Amino acid sequence: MPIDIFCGVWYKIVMLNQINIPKTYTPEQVALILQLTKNTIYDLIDRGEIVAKKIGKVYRIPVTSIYFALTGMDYDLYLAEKEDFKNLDKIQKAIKEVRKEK
Amino acid sequence: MIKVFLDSDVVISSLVSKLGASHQLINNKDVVCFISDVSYKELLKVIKKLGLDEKNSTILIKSNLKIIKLKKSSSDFKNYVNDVDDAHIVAGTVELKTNFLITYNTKDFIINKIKEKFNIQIMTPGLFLQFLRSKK
Repeated sequence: MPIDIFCGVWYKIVMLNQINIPKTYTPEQVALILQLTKNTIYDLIDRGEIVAKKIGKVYRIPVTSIYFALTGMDYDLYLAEKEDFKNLDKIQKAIKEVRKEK
Repeated sequence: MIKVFLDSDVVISSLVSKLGASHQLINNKDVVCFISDVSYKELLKVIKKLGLDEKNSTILIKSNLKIIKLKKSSSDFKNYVNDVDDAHIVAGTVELKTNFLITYNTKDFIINKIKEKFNIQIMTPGLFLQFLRSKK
């Protein structure tokens, strides 16, 4: 029976990863990641600088709100660079070829 | 207004996608984007090679970018790049007397040496836009 429970939990984890549900963090976790105090995180949530979802009495912060800590960029800028990356290999290859022609 | 020198991959990326960071950078009102005459000639060839609309691309480049004449020899800057063919980009940035070189090809520039000698920061378009946000 414990193996069945383990398999069930494992299956759910795999499924959640496959459907790509965004991760969320508690304000305490975000405070640790950004090296700020918990109170500062709550202030930033109040001012709208960190977007959070209030569920009952607690907050959950989506990973997109703290992309800066992970990539050095806000989420929209991260996506904008990702858009450029789609064609970058082809572009850089063409530039290299033209520069070699000189 | 902040002056930046653009590598060709950023200019071409801005022509290929209007949703990308390169396009945002070139259309940012707080920034003046420059390329050199050498880069311009190179861009025309790359545009042709990639099959982009040559007429429209030329119009966009001329209306959004300023072109400076490269007086310094690119070979003077060969020690600052991993691929000597990229030296003219460093030459253009030094010629412009700006502190910012924007490129996606960060691996081919010897970043620390360029920073130390010319006080030039090498950044991707997204990171530079983030930097602009931090100044507001």
